Amino acid sequence: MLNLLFVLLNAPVPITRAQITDRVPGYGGSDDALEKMFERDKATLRELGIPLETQPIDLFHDDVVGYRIDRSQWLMPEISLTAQERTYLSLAASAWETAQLRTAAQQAVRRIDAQEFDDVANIPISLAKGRRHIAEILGAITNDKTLVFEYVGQSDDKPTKRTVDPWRALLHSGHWYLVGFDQDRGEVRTFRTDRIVGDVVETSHQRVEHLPDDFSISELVSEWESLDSGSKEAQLLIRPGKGASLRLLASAVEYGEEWDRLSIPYFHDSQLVGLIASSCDVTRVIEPASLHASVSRIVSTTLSVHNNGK
Amino acid sequence: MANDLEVLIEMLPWLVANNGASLSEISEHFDITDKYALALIGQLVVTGPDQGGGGLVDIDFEDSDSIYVSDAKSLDRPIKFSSFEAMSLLGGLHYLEQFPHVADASVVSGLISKIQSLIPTVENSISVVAQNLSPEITESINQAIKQNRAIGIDYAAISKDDISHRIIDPSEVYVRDDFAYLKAWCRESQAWRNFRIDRIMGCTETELPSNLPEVSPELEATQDYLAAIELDKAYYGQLDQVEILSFKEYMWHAVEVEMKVYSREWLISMILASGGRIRALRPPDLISGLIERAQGWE
Repeated sequence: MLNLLFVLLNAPVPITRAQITDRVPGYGGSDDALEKMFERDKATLRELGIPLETQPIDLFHDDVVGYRIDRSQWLMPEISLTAQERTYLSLAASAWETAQLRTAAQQAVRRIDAQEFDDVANIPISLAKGRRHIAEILGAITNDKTLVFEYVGQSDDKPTKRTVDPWRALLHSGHWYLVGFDQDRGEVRTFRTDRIVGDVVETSHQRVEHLPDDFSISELVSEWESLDSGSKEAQLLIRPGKGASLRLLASAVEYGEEWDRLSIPYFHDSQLVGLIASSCDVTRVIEPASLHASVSRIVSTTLSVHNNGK
Repeated sequence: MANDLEVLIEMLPWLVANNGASLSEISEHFDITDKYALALIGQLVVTGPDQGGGGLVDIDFEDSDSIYVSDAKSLDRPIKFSSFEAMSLLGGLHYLEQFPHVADASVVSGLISKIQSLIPTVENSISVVAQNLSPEITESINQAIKQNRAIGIDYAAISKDDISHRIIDPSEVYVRDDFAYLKAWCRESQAWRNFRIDRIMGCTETELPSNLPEVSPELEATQDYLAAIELDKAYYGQLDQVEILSFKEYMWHAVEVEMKVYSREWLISMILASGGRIRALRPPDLISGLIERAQGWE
């Protein structure tokens, strides 16, 4: 087997089965046995991801095929790296806290340059620690497969099944998102991975919709942000020194003795309701009334869930 | 056989790149026994493209302290990476690119294009949008670390959601997911703290020399408030920021989760934000604190 590999790898042009039989020790016996052995070995080489090419070698007889392993297809070309680049490579590879991705990235670094180098990088960075689904999503993108999972959207009461062609994993503001094409809804959707219920299942189906050439993640994100900073403005009162998370969103603050007054641009009530409810003892909503009503609703639900403290 | 082959096609290029490696280095690198490593090398030297004409792989391994390959018969470079491997590495690089205070972004993007040119078919599957940090604050922190000086910060705390002014001795900047943190000694609380840099609202320089304790602990923020909650199974995924100790499943999709969190105040905030989807079970001071805060709404 190993001999076959070297014969094919060193052949300057594709060679025929007869030539292979000649050169590979151990290849012999009846035609039948030989045929079987050769088929088995070919399959093994391909299983290992070795690009075994077959092509007709006779212009006039295309049933005579030759075999060859193209070195440039199979092996990594030489690339030169500076010491700094090496450091960054090992740093990037060690960032992943998900074992599957970390192993794959470190293997990739070894393949670029098999030379051992000391891990000089000692800057602590870490990615996707304790996060679920990331490796599965990235695997499906690589394998070009459709994903199926149960998902609870922000305004959903119950999880629903989604069938999605995955395009991109996005890390933004502390959350991981899957950006992809939702087959049932027929449009591009973004899913927060922590709202996925249960497992993400890679189907055996090829993706239907592919990432458009003009797709730009930064456009998508700036679209969100323009929605965020969008159309409405809330006026809130907050006790001095309190409500830090809301203060970070404020476009203007008027400081007062008992209360500070904040203006917060926003797009949809759901962006602020949770934050206000979290600090409801030190926050008041002046306007809009709908925001006040939403907060009152979820605060009273929480109280009733806990039997009003009785 | 296929297993041997799998190791062999990795081993020969590695031997070429690390010419002169010792047998123990080889077995350590491939996580195999010395005996097996030797057997594999023995296999290599009797193979090659041309048995008759001496066209064999040539390895000198009489001395197991240094093993030299003089002819690898074209198998002298590592195998190209798989799409998944390439993608994992590119993901790490795209991540690194977002943090200019950790790595030089232009060097990283140069690296990304170098690697992409090796595997043009692999699409970019990861994007990272890091927080825009105030350059002035980042600069003041870096200067203070370099010059070993304390700084004053206005910090929007996460666990209490208060703004507080404190004097800290900055130690180092690190990155977790898309947030950059500053690890520092907090003089007020006389303890190590991790500050999220995007929540530092203001930063003032001081003339105080920094006074860092010698022993610096792990970076992990401590989650030491023990509590139990009940929630619908559908929302279980949203607990990915807490340390879960155990969970029980009930009928009607409910789960009871026992966990450790940063603080009681933080957990009360999470429960209130969930709008009734999460019910506090234990300890009693969690429930009373929750009710008290909820009753503060008008």
